[in-house]
Amino acid sequence: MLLLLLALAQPAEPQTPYSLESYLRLVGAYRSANRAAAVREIRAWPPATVRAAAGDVEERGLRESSASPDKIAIDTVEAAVLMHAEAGLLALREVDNEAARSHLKAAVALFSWSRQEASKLRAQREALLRVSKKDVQQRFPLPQYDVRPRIDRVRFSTALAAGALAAGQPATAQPFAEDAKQRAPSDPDVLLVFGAVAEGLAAAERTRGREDAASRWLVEARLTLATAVTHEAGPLPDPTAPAEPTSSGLEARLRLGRIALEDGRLEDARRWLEEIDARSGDSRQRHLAWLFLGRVADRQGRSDEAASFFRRALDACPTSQVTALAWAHAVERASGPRAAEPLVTRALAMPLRVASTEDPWRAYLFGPPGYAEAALARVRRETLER
Amino acid sequence: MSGLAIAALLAVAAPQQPPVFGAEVGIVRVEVSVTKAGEALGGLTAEDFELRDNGRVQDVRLVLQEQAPIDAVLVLDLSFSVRGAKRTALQGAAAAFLDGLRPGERAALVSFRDDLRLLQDFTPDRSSLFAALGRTEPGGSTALRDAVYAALRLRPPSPERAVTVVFSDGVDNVSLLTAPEVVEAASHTDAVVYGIGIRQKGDPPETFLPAAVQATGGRYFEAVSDRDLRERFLDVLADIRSRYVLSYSPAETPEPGWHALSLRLKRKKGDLLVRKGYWR
Repeated sequence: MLLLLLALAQPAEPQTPYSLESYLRLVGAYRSANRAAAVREIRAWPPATVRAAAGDVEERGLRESSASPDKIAIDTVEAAVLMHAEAGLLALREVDNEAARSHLKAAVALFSWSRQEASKLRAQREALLRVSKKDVQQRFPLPQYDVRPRIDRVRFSTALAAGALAAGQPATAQPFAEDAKQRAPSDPDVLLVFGAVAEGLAAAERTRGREDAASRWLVEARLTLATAVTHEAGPLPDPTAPAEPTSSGLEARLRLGRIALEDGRLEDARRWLEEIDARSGDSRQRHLAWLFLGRVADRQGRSDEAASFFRRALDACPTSQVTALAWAHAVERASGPRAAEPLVTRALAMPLRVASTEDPWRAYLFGPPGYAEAALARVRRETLER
Repeated sequence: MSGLAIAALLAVAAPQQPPVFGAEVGIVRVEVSVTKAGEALGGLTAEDFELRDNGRVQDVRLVLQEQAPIDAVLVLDLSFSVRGAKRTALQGAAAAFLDGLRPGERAALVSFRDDLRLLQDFTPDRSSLFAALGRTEPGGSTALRDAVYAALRLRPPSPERAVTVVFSDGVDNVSLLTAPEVVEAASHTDAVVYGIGIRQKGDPPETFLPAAVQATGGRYFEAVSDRDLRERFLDVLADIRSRYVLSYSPAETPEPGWHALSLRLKRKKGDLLVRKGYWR
């Protein structure tokens, strides 16, 4: 009876019986049409099992040729890398930090290991070709096999950085953003993501009361985003022509304007933001530019101009509580607290958003919307669809 | 920067058209907490106080507590960290505060995460307020400054004493309005702001809420655990009830702008907590 009670009191064991074969089947499903189901299933695996699976892959070894079918092909390993990356980013979004850590570690470990192994195998093959005589090579040709990794490291690191930032974890994003920036210091997309991560780190430091660290990150963000603008591909579109809606250059300008506003460099802020007003066709960017321009005008004591920008921002995003509150504040500065009350009432009467990401300001520190998903999808496409 | 220093800077940065303070034309009302060795000092009369408005001594009278009902706004942090046991403790603490209101006294409930929500507008009806407390759903970030600003502008001036009680367990990470802007807005209201914080070990000190509290002559309480919250909410209520409400008609036609207040006890010793001034 006691044993029965003890058995009942045991915590639920993981349902997935682990074996390397079951893991590889899951990776195979990820590579096929069952990507979402595979990610769901791997997320149910306990962190220890995830670590064990990654370790077993390394122990089994990377297949150097078709003559070693017992080993694991590099495209399978790279699919596993992306599967764990995707699972880790999803876990980050759900603040399941232990799971996120185990999947992201597995992704990075398998990524690094596969590249080192591939490089070693290629070197061995080349050495063998160098020392063997030509007639031997003709009689006993080495099996042809491609051990070239397909995952682009810069894009992979950028995707992980953007994904971690989108999950509200700039500290997790930081090493990936730094890795990408180190390898591609003039890539506008890389610089944009790094700049957004630096903004997120500045905000995080500020919440910890570390103003000096926050200021340093904000300077880093400003310099990086300014470099992104310098290196953006091609000139800005003609102001009279339809603007490029999601170009990293315009996003970098928007963020430079916001940082200048925070720094109190109001004329700099105005200059950057007016470019968005004039050139961007992206409704989110335009809403944010008007919101920030309204704040600039408010701080400069131009209440009519502030009201005009806030009105446009609210027309573009009628459920933006912060816009109504910022407008209320501007009205209050000009006409006193009573004048602000209707706008505060309006803000509080706004329908609740399903997700904070629907509000451009609330989502701002999570990076450019959709960027993380697009970056990962691109890496996946380039890696798996070959 | 200390709250006092912020208040001093704000006093210098006066806007062009200052708001009118108080609902009754010509009457200024000032709430003061008087304590001695941490305990409320009772039994004082109007004659015990010397109040100066821009340096001019005023003829004050004491408003009886019974004649000064309160309008309270509870501003509750419902960000992601306030879930589970903390949420339950917060609901219980807020309910205890509402239970302590006298018949006819009104309260409103505002919650904030990364968005703000008016859970219940001003009402004396306890059952509506308790039902609203049950509609709280934690999640998201902490828009503390935006929430305090909205709460301060929720209620038009009225004869009732205005009290804004703000609970937060974290540091603001998403508001658009800055701390100096909201502290300045707080100094423009007739509301007394109370803060209740609950900090984890290693958390940075909360600076905004104490500054907003100081600008209005309120008081900031720190809870050490979830279980402590109820006591801190009741401390707020006790502080409200122990305050002296002074009123006066300025001896001369008041000039528009910032009016610095200075208050002292003439015959007794005690620690005074009062707003630094008001806008007219």
